Amino acid sequence: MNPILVLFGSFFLMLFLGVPISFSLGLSSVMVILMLDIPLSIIPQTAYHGLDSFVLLAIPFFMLLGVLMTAGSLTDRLLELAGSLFGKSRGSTGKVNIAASVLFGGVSGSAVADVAGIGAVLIRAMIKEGYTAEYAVAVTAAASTVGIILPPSIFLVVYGSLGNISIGALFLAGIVPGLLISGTQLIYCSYLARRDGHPRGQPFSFPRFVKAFRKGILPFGITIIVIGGIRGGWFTATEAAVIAVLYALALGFIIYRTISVKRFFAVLGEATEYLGPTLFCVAMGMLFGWVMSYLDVPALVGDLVKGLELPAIVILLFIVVLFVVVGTFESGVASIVIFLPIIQPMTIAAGLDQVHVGIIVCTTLAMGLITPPYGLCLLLASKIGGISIDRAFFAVLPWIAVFLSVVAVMVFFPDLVLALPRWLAPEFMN
Amino acid sequence: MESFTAVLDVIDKIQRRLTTIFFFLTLVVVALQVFNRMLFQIPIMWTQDISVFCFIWLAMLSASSSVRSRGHFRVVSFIDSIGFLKRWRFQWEVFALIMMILMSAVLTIYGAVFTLEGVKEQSPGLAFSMAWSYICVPVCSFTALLFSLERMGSIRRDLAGDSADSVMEAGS
Repeated sequence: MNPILVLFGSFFLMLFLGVPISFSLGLSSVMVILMLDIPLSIIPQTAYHGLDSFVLLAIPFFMLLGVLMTAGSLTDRLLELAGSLFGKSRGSTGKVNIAASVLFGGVSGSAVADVAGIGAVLIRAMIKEGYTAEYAVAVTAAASTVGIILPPSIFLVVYGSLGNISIGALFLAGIVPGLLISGTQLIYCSYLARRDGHPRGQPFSFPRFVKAFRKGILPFGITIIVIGGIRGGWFTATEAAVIAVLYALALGFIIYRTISVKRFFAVLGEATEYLGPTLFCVAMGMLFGWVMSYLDVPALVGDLVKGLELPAIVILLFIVVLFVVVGTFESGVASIVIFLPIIQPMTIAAGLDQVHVGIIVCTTLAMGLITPPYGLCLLLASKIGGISIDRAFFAVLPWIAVFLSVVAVMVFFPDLVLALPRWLAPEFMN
Repeated sequence: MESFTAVLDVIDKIQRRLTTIFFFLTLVVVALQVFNRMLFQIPIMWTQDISVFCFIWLAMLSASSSVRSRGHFRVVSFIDSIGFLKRWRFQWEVFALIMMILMSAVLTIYGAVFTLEGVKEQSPGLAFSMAWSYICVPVCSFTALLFSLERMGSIRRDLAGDSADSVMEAGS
């Protein structure tokens, strides 16, 4: 029997029969290793060395940052700042929701933390103001996805570390697409507000804005630390994540006095809840990737693409379709771990820029967070809004269309993605 | 069964405490690395090794605890949306747990071999045996195996109590 067929066949069979993704990855690799008489000691060795990376250390710290934002009341301050921006325009709370996600996404690396922090406040507030629960859930879930695209982002850290691509370049490249998505969402939000007669907010008040700005400005130090620190060559991505955590802690402990030592250790525990599944997936994905390399799968895919002589744009569109499908039923991190070794040789063979491809992949996977059955942001938001996932899905469908239109723009105009890192950090682009 | 659960409660509690400690240590060590380099321009050789050591223990411990809390990512929507597969939901749960037990057993046995091979290996920055780091693979895989066995005994209760354990997304 063909070992490649056994590898992928057994993996997908176990996956669809409910075996956890990481265990499916590991066991399908074990089958091929047994089949080819490779010493089994390669299994723990590859899994261990998959995690033996200083870059991957950024993941727990960016996760911790997301939890700290809410625990230290930094989210509330960002919400207040976003709330002071839109005045009495129609549907202003929806717009505040989107703006708050941009502010939150710029200082945290997690979209789920965004929904948990912002959604918990704004969904209820929107329903109270007279918005439908469906709309409140849809706008919150859709807006939160920007947290994955704007730096710092856990998806980009995983993509960069596994694909050997500069994380600094990926972070810089994520800024324009992230703002583009939120800008498009704001336009769509304004259209819906007019069409459906959404309630107006409080009139704009300059003193209120100044007060909110002063209260909310300090958390932005996190963005400066992460982007400036990496760009300036002062820190690696992992070190920047640690300094950002220390900064958030200093705000919580000293400036705002919202975190106690006891609460801090509880927050550490909370952050580790999500850590094990992600990192075990990375370890087993490394094993799966090792088996794929042993079977020459990446080279075969690269040769196939070269042989077909497909235009680069077709390959990019194929990648978008692939990750739209994969993102609906699989976690983003697992999708990157599994498919990166396959798509990378393809895109290199097609002469595509790896930073551009990375942003397209991570943006498409971010959309998977609002598509069932694996759309955790949508699931969380629907839970907060008290509506079924089916109702939430129908409400979020137009937002998915908006999202896809921006992805299409990014595919056809790579300079939109690449201009900023080329301009600010050309040394990261080689 | 009750005493088995009581023992696992203790193991789980110890694992969670250790996870928090390793997380805290990683934070402190990387912070020390940055401050030392920036303030005194002296890179410390051992910080990277210690932080990666803590990180791998942290990852394996929390992966093991996630077996008990049913936190590992999985896809059950396929089974739930196809009638004849859904009728066999209990059997699929048993199948999934058997697969988890098998993988945990492989990692326990060959992880122990890997650890023994690492006894003579020295960490480059620290003067200790790499076996202290490698041993996290068999230890945590063994506890994951025990947690999977415990879950075998509570499948019916789990299925009745929670139909949405499938969807988890860490760090997204």
